[in-house]
Amino acid sequence: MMHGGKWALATAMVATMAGGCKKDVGGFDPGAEGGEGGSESGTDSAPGGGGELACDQGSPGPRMLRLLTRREYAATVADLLGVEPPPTDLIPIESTIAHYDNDASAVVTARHVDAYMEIAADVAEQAVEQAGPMLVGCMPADPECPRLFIEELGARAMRRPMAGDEVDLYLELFDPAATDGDFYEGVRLVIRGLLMSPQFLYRSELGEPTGADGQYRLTPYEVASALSYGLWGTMPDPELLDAAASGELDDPDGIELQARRLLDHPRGRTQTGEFFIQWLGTAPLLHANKDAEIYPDFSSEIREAMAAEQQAFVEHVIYDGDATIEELLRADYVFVDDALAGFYGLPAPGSSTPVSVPAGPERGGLLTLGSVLASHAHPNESSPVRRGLFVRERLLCQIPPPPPPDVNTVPPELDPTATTRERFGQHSVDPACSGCHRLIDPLGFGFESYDGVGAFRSTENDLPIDASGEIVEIEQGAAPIPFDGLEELATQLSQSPVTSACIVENYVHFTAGRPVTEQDECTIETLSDQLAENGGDLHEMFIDRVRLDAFVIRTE
Amino acid sequence: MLIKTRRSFIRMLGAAGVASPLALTLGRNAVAAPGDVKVMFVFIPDGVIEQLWHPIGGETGFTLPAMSAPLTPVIDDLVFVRGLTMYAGAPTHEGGTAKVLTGDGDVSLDIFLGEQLGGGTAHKSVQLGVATAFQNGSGSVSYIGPGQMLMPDDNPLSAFERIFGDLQEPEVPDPGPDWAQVRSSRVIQRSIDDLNRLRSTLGGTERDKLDVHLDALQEVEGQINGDFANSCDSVVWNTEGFTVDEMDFYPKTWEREEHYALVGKLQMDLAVLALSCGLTNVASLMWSHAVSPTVVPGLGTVTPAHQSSHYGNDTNSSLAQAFIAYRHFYCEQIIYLLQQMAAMPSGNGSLLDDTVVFFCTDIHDGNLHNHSDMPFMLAGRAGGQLVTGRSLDYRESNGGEDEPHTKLLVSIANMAGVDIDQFGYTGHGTGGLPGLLG
Repeated sequence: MMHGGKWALATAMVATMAGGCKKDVGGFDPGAEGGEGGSESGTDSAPGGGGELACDQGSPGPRMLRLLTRREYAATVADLLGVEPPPTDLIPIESTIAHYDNDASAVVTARHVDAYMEIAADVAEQAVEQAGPMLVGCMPADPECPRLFIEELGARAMRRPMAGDEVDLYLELFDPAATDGDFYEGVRLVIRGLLMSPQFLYRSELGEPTGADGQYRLTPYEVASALSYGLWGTMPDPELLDAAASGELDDPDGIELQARRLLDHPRGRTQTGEFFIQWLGTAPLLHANKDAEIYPDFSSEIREAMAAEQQAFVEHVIYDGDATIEELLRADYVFVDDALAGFYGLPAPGSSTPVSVPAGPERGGLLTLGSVLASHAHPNESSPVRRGLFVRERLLCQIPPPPPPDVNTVPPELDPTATTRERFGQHSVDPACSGCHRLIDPLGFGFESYDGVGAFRSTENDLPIDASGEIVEIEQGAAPIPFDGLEELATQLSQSPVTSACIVENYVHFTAGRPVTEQDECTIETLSDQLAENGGDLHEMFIDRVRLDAFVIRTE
Repeated sequence: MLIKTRRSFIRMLGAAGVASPLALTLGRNAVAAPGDVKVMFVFIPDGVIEQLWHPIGGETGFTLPAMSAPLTPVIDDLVFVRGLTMYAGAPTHEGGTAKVLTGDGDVSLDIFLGEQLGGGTAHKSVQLGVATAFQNGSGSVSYIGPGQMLMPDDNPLSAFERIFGDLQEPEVPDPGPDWAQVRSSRVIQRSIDDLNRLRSTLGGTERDKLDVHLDALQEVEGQINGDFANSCDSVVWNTEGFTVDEMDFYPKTWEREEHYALVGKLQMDLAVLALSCGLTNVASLMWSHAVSPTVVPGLGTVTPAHQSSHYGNDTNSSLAQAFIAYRHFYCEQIIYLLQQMAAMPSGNGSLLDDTVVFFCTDIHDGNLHNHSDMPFMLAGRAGGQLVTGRSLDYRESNGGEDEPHTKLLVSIANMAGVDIDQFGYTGHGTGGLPGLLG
């Protein structure tokens, strides 16, 4: 097995930064890597633990019982029962890991249980009220009806057929001592019970032993859920469950067939947009604190238009465009409605929904999305540091450590006689800062043509904007790459294998619900290689992801 | 409409007829046993102005400078603790939030003490918040495990229902089956059976995960079945008649700045009631969140709280004045909380006598942006263990360096009867904070 590829470059970078910035980095332990960089230790740790898979089948890692996120929970309840998605305010807000809300380690607290109980009772009431007898596919007088109802609803709630003793467990909810003899009370209680079942609240990716040491293969139904939650953010539909039942999901071609159907479905488009929201860290956009005195034009309407722009742009690139990193970063069009066109200084397209218009010299591509620019900025100013970190962490997957404990991390005060760039100059002077900030700020300076809410500016405080910068060490030992402005930065990034490996890494995190570790090296490397072979087509990378054996195999 | 179980008796009175906000009608079935020390954590965001906050003078007989001066009336209920550093972790607002109760470990002290002290109470601990998720929030002080942050409950109405939802209904002759209770009990029992079935097939971390889930189910099951003692027959709460407008999608009603003070008051009242009625032994309350974007109306400033904390080294600047106004607002809230606790009977005295309250924040001085010399305070007498009316200074008292704040966390646990000698970071030694307790 040779692992000399792009992924190794990204890991090697970690070692460099560990040297330059001292502390441990991301999910890696620099100490364990010695001075050799990531590629050596990656080769030593045989992928998959059992060593059964070739590297080009990816590296299986740990998989878990995955608690539904609030978003997944609401969508699943709605799909299961044909009700409106229930409000989820009662459920504690997820803690995010690197902006991803679907941490596979998430646990259930008493607050969760209380919320699930309340919502389940409410939803059961609604479902029976709305559908009545239609909800139950049999006659209440039929003594077998309770069992049939539980089997039918349970198989969808648990996303797999129920075992006989499981059905018995929920059959007890039709006990007259609980229903007072009211059949539909029994129906409500079964709905409540199933919505409280751990088999509903978690989706399992634990699989069954393959016979190889420490290796498990996901059941066809677990594969179906992994596909539907990954590609739709909700439970499998009947066709997917049928595919699981018929053995269609037992091989990569069958998985691919279903995955293409899901990915290209409107729900797939929405979920693809969700991946970009979490990857780009733009979820805060709508509620971000912005100083209304400094940014009076940054209204709710503009925030929503920016969110709509991002979704329309992402959908266009992935589904209607080339789906390439190049197009993502360098598109010569933008999606704006009239309001956002005004905010961007573009001619109004005569539309209240985002439509594609020529980008002009000031816009184009992911880096110039208003959502990205406003999300990675301060309430009252741009932020070379946050935007530099955005590129370093989200686009290059190189995580600098936090500042050392003894430095003052207060941003320099606003100064009407200086540019932001000038005020942040201390970082390059003070040796306590420059070790890491030389990797961050020169990237962020490239964004200075855009203020804290993403509006274009050619001057700041009547001083001309300097948007030149450089990419320091895009790979270990690489010479600095100078650039001027976001168009040149985007061009440089789009040509780097580090960027494409990083997108792959983010997608693997999003679908696995956990940060990528060295254990995932073969998955990242293989998907990156395939991405290069496919001409950088991300739509196909999403498919390649589920074709890997590593998608259906887990290790301890 | 959510289905409520056994909650119909809770009276959310209108403002009429009740003068004192906490005029409780407490029918006490039991009182807290002497020595049964409760713990409360109060987080106030964004630090202070160093030279205007820390007391001036010795351990006793000290005075308070401009920023903390409003606390003078309750000075005898407080212990000012300065000179503690929050070592390790990130030196940021968010880093401070994450480590102030964890000491840079995995679990926060409120969750830990809840587990230790909560066996016999309806709720092991309660986490309440005031607009902590407003404008995306910036984290919680409460952690269940590594990376597992627990955001507080910001909606006082749902928090009240959750905490008091398990009170016994008054005795009625032959009430017949309490169907709501019977049914909820059945549902949760199925959930427990199903979980146990799944759990028995698993090992390792997934089993641990389900153990946490099982604990949570059993806690709620106990509430539904009325297994836990509580000492309040009925309570009066929300005499202001705060309601939530379902159409307030964003910000939520309880996050709106015009309700900030009221929601805070309701959450303080709720925490006091929950502790006093024996529904929990541990409560935490987070005001806003680090880097607070909140503008509290009526303070004479329109500058958001965090922005004012960057007052620019000039304590006379308008930003500094705004920052002082925010801290004065919080001083008033502290006084209110302590008054309510002092008015609440408990054990041989008041709830304040039986409780230790830890007032914490995420950063020392908003402008210095540092984690040394943290402006912490304790209140309450912890069942007689804590002598209040003192000002303690731990600067450079650990071999020339500040004592770690984790020693204070240890002392708080010890006061609550939990015998530990380290919590989180131990780089500057273990044990409690020297000289804090007798």
